[in-house]
Amino acid sequence: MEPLKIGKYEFSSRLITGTGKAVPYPLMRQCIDAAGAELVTVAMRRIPKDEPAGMTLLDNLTGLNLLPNTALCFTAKDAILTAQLAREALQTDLIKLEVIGDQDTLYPDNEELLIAARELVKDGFTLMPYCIDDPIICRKLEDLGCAAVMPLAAPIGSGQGIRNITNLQIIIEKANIPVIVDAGVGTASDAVIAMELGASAVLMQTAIYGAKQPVRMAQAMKLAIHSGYLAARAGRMPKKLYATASSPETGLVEAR
Amino acid sequence: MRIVVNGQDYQTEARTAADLLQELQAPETGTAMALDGEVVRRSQLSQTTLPEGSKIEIVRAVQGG
Repeated sequence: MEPLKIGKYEFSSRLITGTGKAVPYPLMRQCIDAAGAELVTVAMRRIPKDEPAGMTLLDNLTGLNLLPNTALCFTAKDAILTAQLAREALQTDLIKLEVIGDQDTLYPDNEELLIAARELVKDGFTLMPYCIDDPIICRKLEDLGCAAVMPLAAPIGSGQGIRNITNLQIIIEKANIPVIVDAGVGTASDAVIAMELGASAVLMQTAIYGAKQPVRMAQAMKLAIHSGYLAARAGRMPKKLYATASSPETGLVEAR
Repeated sequence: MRIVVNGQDYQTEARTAADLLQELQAPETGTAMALDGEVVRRSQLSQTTLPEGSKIEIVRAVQGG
């Protein structure tokens, strides 16, 4: 695979993973390594009053690139401060920008997202906004100077797979920056489809950590990304309504 | 002096942002602080004094997707 280029960064893996939610650190790390991910998301939260000493999350993510998110921020203001805190805490300008509009769907709030994106691009961030699978919002985010767009396949954590293939196809065709399918992937075939459509990468969390055997699913996802990437570039055969024999039609045996 | 740390009232002896992080035993790496909505750069922590009643946010990375 060619490297994935996001702004000034390059990655050889096209699978970006989350770091689990309350998944034990050793299992988390096994999954990340099985997926071959080089870029992993983390959330930013207030420090608790009494945190027990021991291995921290960051101790378990050595050698990986961090992609801090602004998950569950409901206003541009909160997302901007969270992003700026993440940059200072983790010394990276990469941000997965999320501005959520509704608790049940976790769909992005387009208006707030654009406000936050404008501000953070101006502030020098390499911005990767999570957005709805709408070609117009993706175009606006690109015009603002985002480094990538991350349209959802389906609601976060739903595992429904790609709900609107044609929209995703249009987004990918029109975009001049990487399109990373984020959220909603449930199993390996969903990741293959995203890559076959021409997505630059896929970001997933629950599809891996929510599987009965997360490490095995992480391996499956790694192969799926590679497989979809190759298929997209191989150029599929045209679809036909009727059958075409795949063995010679002459020289057949006659029993009578 | 009374300040607000992560949404909770907090009584502190700390004069600077660096003092407060030490008082809270917050690890220096992977942690960041905002004072009244503005991020305090790591290099500025010991020069940044905390006014009475200031609102502080202190965060670090946690698992997430």
